[in-house]
Amino acid sequence: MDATQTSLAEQWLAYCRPRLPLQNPLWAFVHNNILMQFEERPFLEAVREAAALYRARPFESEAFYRSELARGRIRRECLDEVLARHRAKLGEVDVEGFLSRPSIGDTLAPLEHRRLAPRLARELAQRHQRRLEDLLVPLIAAYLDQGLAAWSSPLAEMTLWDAFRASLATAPSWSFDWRAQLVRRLQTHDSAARDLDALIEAEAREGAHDADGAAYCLETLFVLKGWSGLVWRLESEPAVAPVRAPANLRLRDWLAILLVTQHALDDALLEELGLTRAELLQRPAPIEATRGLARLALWQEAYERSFVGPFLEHLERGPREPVESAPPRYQALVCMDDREESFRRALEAPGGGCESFGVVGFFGVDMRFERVGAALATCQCPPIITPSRTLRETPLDGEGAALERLQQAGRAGATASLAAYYHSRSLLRGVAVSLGLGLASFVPLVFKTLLPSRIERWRELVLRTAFPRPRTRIALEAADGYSVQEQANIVESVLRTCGLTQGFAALVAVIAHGSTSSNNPFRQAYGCGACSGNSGAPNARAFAAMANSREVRALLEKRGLVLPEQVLFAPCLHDTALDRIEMLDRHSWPAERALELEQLRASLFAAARANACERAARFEQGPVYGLRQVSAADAEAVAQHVQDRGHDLAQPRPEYGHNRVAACIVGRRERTRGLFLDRRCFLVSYDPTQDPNGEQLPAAVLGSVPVAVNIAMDYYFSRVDPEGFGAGSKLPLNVVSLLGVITGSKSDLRIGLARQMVELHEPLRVLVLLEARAEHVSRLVKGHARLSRLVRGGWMQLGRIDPDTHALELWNGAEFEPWRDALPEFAEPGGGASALASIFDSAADRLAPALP
Amino acid sequence: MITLETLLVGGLAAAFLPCAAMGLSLLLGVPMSERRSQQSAHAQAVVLLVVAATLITAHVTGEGPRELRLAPLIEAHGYAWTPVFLLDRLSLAYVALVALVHPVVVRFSIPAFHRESGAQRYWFLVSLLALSLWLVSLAGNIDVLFVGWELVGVCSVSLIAFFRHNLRSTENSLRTLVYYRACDAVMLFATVWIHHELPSADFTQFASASSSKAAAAIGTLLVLSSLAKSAQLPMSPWLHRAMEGPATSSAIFYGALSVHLGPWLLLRTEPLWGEHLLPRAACGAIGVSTAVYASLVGRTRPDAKTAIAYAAMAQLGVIYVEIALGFERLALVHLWAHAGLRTWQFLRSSSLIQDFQANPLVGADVRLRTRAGLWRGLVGPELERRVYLAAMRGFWLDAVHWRSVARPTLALFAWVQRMEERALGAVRREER
Amino acid sequence: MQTRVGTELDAPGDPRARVALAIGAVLAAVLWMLNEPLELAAAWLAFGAWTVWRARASATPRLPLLALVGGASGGVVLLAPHLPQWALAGCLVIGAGVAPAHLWLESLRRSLARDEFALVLVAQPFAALLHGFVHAYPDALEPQTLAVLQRVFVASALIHAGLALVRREPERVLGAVIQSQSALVIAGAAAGETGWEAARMLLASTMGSGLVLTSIASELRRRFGALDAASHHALAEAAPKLHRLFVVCGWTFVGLPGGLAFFAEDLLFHALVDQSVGATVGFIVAAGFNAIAFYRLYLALFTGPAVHPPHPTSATASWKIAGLTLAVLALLVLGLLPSLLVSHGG
Repeated sequence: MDATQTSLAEQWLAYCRPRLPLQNPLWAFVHNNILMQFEERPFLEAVREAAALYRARPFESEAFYRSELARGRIRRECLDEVLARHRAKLGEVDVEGFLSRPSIGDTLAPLEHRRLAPRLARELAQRHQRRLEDLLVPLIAAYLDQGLAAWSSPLAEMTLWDAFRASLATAPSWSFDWRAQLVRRLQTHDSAARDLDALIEAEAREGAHDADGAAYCLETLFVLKGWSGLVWRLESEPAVAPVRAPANLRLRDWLAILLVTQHALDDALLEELGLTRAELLQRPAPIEATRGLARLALWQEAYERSFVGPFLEHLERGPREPVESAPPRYQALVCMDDREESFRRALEAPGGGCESFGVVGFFGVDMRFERVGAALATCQCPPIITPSRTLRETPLDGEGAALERLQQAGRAGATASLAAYYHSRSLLRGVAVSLGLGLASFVPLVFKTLLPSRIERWRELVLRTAFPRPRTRIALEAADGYSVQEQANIVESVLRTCGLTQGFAALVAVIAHGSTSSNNPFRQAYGCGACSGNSGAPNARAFAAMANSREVRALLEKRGLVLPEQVLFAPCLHDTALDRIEMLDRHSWPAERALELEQLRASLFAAARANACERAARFEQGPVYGLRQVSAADAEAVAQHVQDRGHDLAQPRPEYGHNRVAACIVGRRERTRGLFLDRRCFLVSYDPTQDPNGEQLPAAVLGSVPVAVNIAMDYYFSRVDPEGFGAGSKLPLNVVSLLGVITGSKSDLRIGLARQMVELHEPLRVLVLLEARAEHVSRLVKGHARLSRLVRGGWMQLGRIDPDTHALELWNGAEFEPWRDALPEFAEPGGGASALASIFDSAADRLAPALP
Repeated sequence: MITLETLLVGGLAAAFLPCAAMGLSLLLGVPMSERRSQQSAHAQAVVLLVVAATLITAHVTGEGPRELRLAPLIEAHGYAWTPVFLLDRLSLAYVALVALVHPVVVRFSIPAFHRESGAQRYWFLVSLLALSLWLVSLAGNIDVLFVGWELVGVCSVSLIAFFRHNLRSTENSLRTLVYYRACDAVMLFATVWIHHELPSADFTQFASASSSKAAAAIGTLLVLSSLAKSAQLPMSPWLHRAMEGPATSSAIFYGALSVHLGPWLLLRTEPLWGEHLLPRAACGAIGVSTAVYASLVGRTRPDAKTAIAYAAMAQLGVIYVEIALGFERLALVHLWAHAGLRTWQFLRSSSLIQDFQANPLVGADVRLRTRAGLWRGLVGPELERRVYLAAMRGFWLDAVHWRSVARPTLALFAWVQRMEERALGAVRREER
Repeated sequence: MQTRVGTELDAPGDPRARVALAIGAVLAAVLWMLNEPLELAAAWLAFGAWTVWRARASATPRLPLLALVGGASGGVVLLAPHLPQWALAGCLVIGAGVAPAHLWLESLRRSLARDEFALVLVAQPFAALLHGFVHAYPDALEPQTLAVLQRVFVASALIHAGLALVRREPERVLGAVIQSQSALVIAGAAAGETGWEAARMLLASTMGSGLVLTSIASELRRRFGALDAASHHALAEAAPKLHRLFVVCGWTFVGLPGGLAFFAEDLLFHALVDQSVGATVGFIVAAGFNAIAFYRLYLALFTGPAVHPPHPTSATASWKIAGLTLAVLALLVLGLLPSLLVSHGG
């Protein structure tokens, strides 16, 4: 269709679609830069527009920055330097002047609302929003419902617009106060025989006083931003709907509904007030969230510099103790995830004899995976990649009967739980369920609450005894599986990218990670980001199977990558919430190496325990809150505590996820090994010395850096405005339609992360350091569209570690310059450990206790 | 040997003290540390559990119902407000329920309310709820019961408004208060009337007063006064609005302890009005209509919490019917079991996405939703759609109340105010 | 309409206004201490004269005519107990300022400074008047007249409770609730010694809570400007101390168990039901409305979406907070131990 044929409404929709919040149903949650579609533009400009649309503040508050300055997390000299750099705009001003005059730096005027409602008195504007939600939220929630309601909605077969009309037609004239205005408006359109496009055009023309229909439609969609985003997401990619994609879902219908209801509501209120639309439009309507952004941006800059400076200094100084030179006893491939930084540090503790490599946690295996006993295949690769094939878990020979038994039991249990779910909500069968299950439900009620993890362990034990889990493998060689050639490609690419091409230890642990949490609609946000929020276990199993395969090794040898005979790849799973290690596919281990593997298991176990202790220092209700050193007895208590956290229904913080993540280092582990990084850093292994032409660099960077930015930005926005960009507190959240959460009973669909998930986070744009030659980095950044947008727009800070001199450099927009030149306030090497106190302090970032 | 009386008074004092301490610290603006308020609530829950266990053991091994009278709090001109407590199977059944559910919710809230602003307010309200539930369930006369009843209502309303920056939660809390108040007024009147008409307000004397001519009327008033707490028709529309509060308070109030007070009141006072047709008929009719209404509406709910709320309302309707039909023991068992089920469902209402994800049937070829198949066959798709659309909107009961009661009342007083202005305007015109 | 607010007399620290207010308070206290009809009449008229003086001194330089009528009728009943029943009843209704004769109070509100009008409401001179009258001339009113009077009081309680639901200015909402409660007090006072026992408790509660609540409302006005009960102001964080006192005092004021008013109302209803079932129902309904009105006002003042936390112009003096806290504590203690206020009469 060429441009002349496209209707105006279609053009407007085309403008709106990419700007809507980008969030999957929570079922398939992935971290995204919530403003990914705004990355074209410089950060400040983009967040300003977003602030207007989301009605949310894109920086922390002035009060926050002031308190960070007071406690030394923002350094005065950094703020001073920021003020000096912006002298042209601000004039001569020092820190004192900046603090005492809140107008300094406030150079951007607030943007204006386009809609009528925000111009009403505050009370009326709030009522406007609430009335709209009262009418529309039950409708859209029922329309999109994936199976929470027992009565499957007869609306789902209609288009959304028809469902809206049907719902309105059934409503009696007295059912809501502004029905008359709504009906009148619809009659006007009907009598003019307008189709939906014409209706949208007519409505938007009426509403948009500055004739910018597209922007007006966008602002209208943002009235219920969460639902609008979901409607578009489900329309554009129906496969993300967990159960049933609504066939007739169109954003167009939803826009028409929003326009017409909103204008009808405007009419009703105008009548009430005795005003005309034109009169009301005279009133100014500045968007509060866009006030003072330029000044806050200055604060943010100082905040980030105050992190980058000490961090780079720390990195430059390197580890205190020299790294052991003895050849490693084990090697470990671990996900780049920042949560694994502390785990790897513990694993590589002196005397352990372990060496670790950071890789992207799907281990190059881009598959959909069908687990035994699951109905749906899970996506086991980063969301930016489309899985190339679907692999199945299959029983080993002779295990078929056990599998059958397990599956039967699983189906029976599933049927029973669905029946209990639906029937407990019906009338007569509900009597039976409540009499039959009611008294029984006191048992889990009491025990699951009091002994969360123990009860889970016992349950598992009973189930395993009754229905032993059959030994399985992943059917790599299946018809649509990976050929040997492809397997070799995967193994080669992973090993070459991370630089593990020689000096193999006898055992290489392939450590995937996942996370256990209970009663948590956001569970998917804690999983492995590189496996679309799922556990990476299948990938580790698949990768280990490939790397252990003789055919693959033979092929690799031909390509110059020699894997000695005795090298054994052992797949493992690290549960980042429970800090539990599971050795996968034990049945495939050669019997003669059992002892070795047992030693590996023990050292992984010890590392996980140490990791738990480090994490627990930030768990305020835990046994070792704030302690750096944990005694053996306490370690036992910590282990129990973190297990309980993961299984506790009441626990809104099973783990702190990516809280405080601030940097991403792509380079050799030697640069960071033994260095305390406080779980603030993604660590991707890449060895530039083995890659003189920079051929592996794209694989190392493009798989990791965009993910790092997505995660950092998702946390950033949810943290700076937990209500506007995030989902607010977890406590009032209510699962709706199996797709998302709302607050209470009828609110907009919540986007972003809940407050409890980001409360320790420091909202920073991520600092990316690449250990590579400058020309390779420039080539890479220029050649990759998104990366160059991110760098140009200031969505991340790019830096470089010189492979030869180990010098640190920062990108200043035009070239790399030594970091002390880029951050002149750090020109003098700082004073040792105290300089780090502010960014690595385990005490100061804890929140003040809540107010009563 | 500790007497039952000291045990009871001790238990009530133990329930009262943490609550008073937290309330006082809130009032005086010297907030307790988070840990301290958790400890207070926790200690209260544990003590109450122990006291309840002792009372129940004493009852089971002892000689049956006991009535304990304390000194009157106030005595004037033939009127006395006497704390009377009754230990019998019925009261101990509810005490046992409270003693079981309350500590679980307290334990549940400790991590959930960690670092939540306003947590101390929550702890105070939950411990006040425990105290008031003890008063209600152990009350030996209507006066003590009324005290607890009112306090439960205030706790409930305050917790709906717990997130006080959320407009919907504050407004819904006000709506809820209106429904509570309407029924509390009926109950207050019933209380006054009981004192006026019957020889005694003690529950033990109710059976002997059942032949009094006021018994039927008082019974009917009691049935009416129980409607709001249990969200029975026509006082139903507040319950889904109450879902604005935290899930833990939804569990303890609307899954278990507050919402079952209605049937419990009826069981308690049944000896008085059981012989009369009018209250029984009212109870049964209300129960049937609520059960049908709530199960229709509940089936259309696409969100976790309001679906449970309506399901609970429907089962409560069934319990009302059971009481009307005279199956008191069944009603008591149903009440108990139902409270356990709904508490469990509310507490894990956030698990639904996980549950469905883990369920091997979801998404496969197995029918996920239970279609209203029989229904559809009987009524045809057109009518089904109409009923669905009406049920989706709760049959506009809210609007009915708003249009027929609230708005005319407000309009009347707005008119009075205008009249006032006009009358004064004649005298002091310059002010207008 | 109600824009004539904050005259210069409202300005804090104006010594003249303070002295005048103190004089009024003394006069009101005197009114409560006297028993003899003549003395009482004198005190009543003196208090009336004080209001007229203050009304003259305020911005509108005209006599509050209606207030004069109201004050005079109060004096008349005390001095001439042998008037015909209808006249006595009429004068009592007017003097007590119950609806529809509350208009003179309403007009007085418009010509007095806020604090002064609050004093008039909180001091409850009407109850003193009625009680004094019934006490001095126990037989002056015939039972039928009393029955009629009771209906008027019920109507007044209902009307004021209803007005509290629709009014927008916080002080006026509180004023309406106080007037509604005071109709109950008056009904008790007019019911002779039996009801007086209950009414005395309710009176203590109404005076105490009314004082606390109106002080908080005027303090909020001083700090945050004019507030409106129809929208949400979210002051809970901006004025945490006032918030706590307001919510506790308000709940006890409207009859929550644990406050003095609970037992008072309970006792009063039991006393009233012997006289008239209908009146009891009316009062119960009014009490229900009052609770709703208070809660609505509380939500409007202290909760709601805090888009811009309002910046107070100044803090509340700590002696004020201390005083209010003591008052609230006293109400709570009396609520738990009501027998401190009630004689164990037969």
